[in-house]
Amino acid sequence: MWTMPNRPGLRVGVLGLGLLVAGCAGRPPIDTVSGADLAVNQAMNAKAQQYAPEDMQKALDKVSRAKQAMTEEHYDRARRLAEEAQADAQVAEAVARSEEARRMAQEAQTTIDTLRKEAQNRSKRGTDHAP
Amino acid sequence: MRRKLYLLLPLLAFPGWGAADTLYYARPSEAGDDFHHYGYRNEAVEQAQAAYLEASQNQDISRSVPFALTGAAQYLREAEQTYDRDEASHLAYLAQRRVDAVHALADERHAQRKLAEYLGQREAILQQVRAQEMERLQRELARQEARLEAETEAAKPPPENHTPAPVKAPVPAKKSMAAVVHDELKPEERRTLYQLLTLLKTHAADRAQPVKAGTVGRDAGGTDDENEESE
Repeated sequence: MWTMPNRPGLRVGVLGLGLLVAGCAGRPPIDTVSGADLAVNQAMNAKAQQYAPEDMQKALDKVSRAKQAMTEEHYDRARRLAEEAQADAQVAEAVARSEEARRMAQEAQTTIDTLRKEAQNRSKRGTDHAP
Repeated sequence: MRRKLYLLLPLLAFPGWGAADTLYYARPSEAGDDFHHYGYRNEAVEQAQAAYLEASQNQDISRSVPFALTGAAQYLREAEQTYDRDEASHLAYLAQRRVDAVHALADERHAQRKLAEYLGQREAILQQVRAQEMERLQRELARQEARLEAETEAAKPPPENHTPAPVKAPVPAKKSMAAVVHDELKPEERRTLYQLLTLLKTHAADRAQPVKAGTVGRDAGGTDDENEESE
């Protein structure tokens, strides 16, 4: 049976190594994953699935994988996935808002064209019927 | 001295230091750029750098959302400074996505400006239409007032020296004798008429008696003796 050599220096080294490994495992990135969840929900409320389906799908996949990594205690991987999911969701939301604003601008332009034609017709009718 | 080497074992626990590709890492260069560069190539970082550079030179972005690239710059700086290749790729991805979001944000601002412009145009057109409608209504009102004035003028009584045009009496409808008696005779007249009619009926036989004397012309049907007798 193997026994640790009775050397004080070796004991100190092994103990330090253990502490460092334990420190590197870190804490579970609960806040980061929650933030990603929140960003995904906000993107969904902004109709991101309609306007930016690819980015939205990326975000959803990464959130799911981040949660899976959390359960497997791969915290560093979970943190990265959650941060990337949050970034993807923010892009999806920004794209959705942009597309929505563009759609509204197009509708306004169409309305203006219709109004302008109607005003011209009215003006013409008014001139024709003037005494 | 060789016995003490195991004291260095904890140093292997630092991330990346035990990996083979750490051999390519180097200290930051002093090139004078905004970002520090290391002695290895990371494609993700390079792509993020290119995207950031392009976005920072974009006029729309610098005008619409001038401070939005700050987050991307921060991620990119961290990506360039980290020793961990995976972490560098991860941070480069975040920087790249941040740049994408800034592009979308600039597009949104652009669309919002256009929308505001269109809404202003719409309001101007609506005001123009309202003004035209008001003008039309005023014309219509003036026309109605003129017509009403003409009608009032026509309905005024004529002046005193005015000779009225001869007015034709309405042609009465034909009335029966009974209606005439009823409408136009007074009760005592009707009574008198009734007595006369009774008298005539009573002596209806006398009406058939020819007149045979004392006349000239048409009634002169009798003999001379009869005429002398009647006189």
